Amino acid sequence: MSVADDALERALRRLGDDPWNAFVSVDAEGARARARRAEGPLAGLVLSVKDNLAVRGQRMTCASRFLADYVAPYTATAVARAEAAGAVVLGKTNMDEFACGSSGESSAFGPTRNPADLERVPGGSSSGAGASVAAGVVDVAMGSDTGGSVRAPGSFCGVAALKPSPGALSRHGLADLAMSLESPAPMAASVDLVRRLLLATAGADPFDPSTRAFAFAPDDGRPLRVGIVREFVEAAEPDVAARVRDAAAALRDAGHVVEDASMPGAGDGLATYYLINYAEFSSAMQRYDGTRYGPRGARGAEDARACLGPEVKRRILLGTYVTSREGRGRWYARALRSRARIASAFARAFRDHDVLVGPTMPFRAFRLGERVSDPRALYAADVLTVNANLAGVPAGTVPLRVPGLPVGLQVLGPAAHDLRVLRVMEDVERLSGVRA
Amino acid sequence: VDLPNEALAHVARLARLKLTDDELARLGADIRGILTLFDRLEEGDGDASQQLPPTAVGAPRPDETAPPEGVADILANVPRVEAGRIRVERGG
Repeated sequence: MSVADDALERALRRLGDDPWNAFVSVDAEGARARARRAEGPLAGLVLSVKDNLAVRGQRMTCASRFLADYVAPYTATAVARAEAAGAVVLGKTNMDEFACGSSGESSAFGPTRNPADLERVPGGSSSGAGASVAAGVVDVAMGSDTGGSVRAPGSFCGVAALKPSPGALSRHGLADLAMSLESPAPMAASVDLVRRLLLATAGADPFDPSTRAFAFAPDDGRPLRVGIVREFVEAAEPDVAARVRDAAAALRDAGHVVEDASMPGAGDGLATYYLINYAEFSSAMQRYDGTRYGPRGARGAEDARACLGPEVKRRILLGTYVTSREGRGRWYARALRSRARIASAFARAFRDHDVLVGPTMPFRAFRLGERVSDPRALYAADVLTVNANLAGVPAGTVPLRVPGLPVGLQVLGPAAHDLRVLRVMEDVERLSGVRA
Repeated sequence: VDLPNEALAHVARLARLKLTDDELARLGADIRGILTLFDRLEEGDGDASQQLPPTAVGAPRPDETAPPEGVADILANVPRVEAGRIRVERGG
């Protein structure tokens, strides 16, 4: 048996009957066939793929009844490159329906459970991706991040994750939620594995013009000026804030210069993010009109769209409203101006600091069902992650070694400085410890 | 926020969502609550065009024709197919 065969059989044994509901579909036989011929820098690694990324010949549901029978006719670039580098795809992971959620509870196939505590949410929308790594089923996962969708499950489940700079990873084959904000995004049991998956999958792709001019800025390994963002720390629960300050102190001990940083406009991020998300999402969802996509036998758009879940309908309605003639000036234009201000604030902060750090989530994983009936309470969980997507900068999360439920430290860097962000995450991992 | 259910029903028609009265009442209450979150955003000034991050600016691929691929795969996913063609519903 090859290394890849061994790794795959271990993954299948660990998966068992999937008590976390982390997977929407598992292709064990196909994976065995692929493992036999796996070669390259990722050989021996088992990969899970979020169910909004296409894998040819496999179902791609976006965790929606709308696409329950959809079979992808091609493979997303980010996944194809991981496979070409030797990673073996085990299956497609559960998620919030069409990535609309940050708790992992809005899937049409039932909520994902947090491996650290089965009664708690894993975070979303890449809920199954995070759970599949945290449970020790797979080594690496490809998720996607629009406003924190790999960082929330990374923080709640205790795994490392990176939302790359825009343009680093091709979005070809990713069912888009909000095209100006999102990217495929790697997750793994260690920062080194996140880096390996990122480097194996990045690079120009003719099918995504935003990748054409992108290159990672080199990281020279020098000690860095690390800004700990006051507003982010103050927004977190006291216990989480204390852990983040401990991690910042550890970075100082490692030779970095740690200073206070301030992002005075960051409080507008949540409102700005959701307005832009709604607008882009309702536009992206127009293709799901029952003509080329939809439940078998559906008669027209209204008939096909009746099966969408409540959060998806809510976002389509809000997006249609805020971009309508009545809502555009009042809401959407205001959000676009606010986004430009937030991007400028990050540019100013990165003149004084090489990276910014803070908590990834304001609290630890909450109980299943605790927030699901109140969309505003669910949205509030994203308050610390959305700014990176608005500003177009890379942001990662690394678990801190803490008693009880996991806590993640978020590290943000200037655009294209993903490798610097990963180095700081690795320093934290080494100093603070990580479950690997 | 002044968005009565009748106005929301109009938005739902634009969005091609058919909502039951119950759904309309529930989503309407949620949406009015959510819209109050956005009042905190200042009017501000400056450019209101869609901003793309500078690292994401690229160029389109060459505009070259190629034979269609995967027609059978695409048709296999379509809700209604008649005589090898996609059945399109009359717009309402």
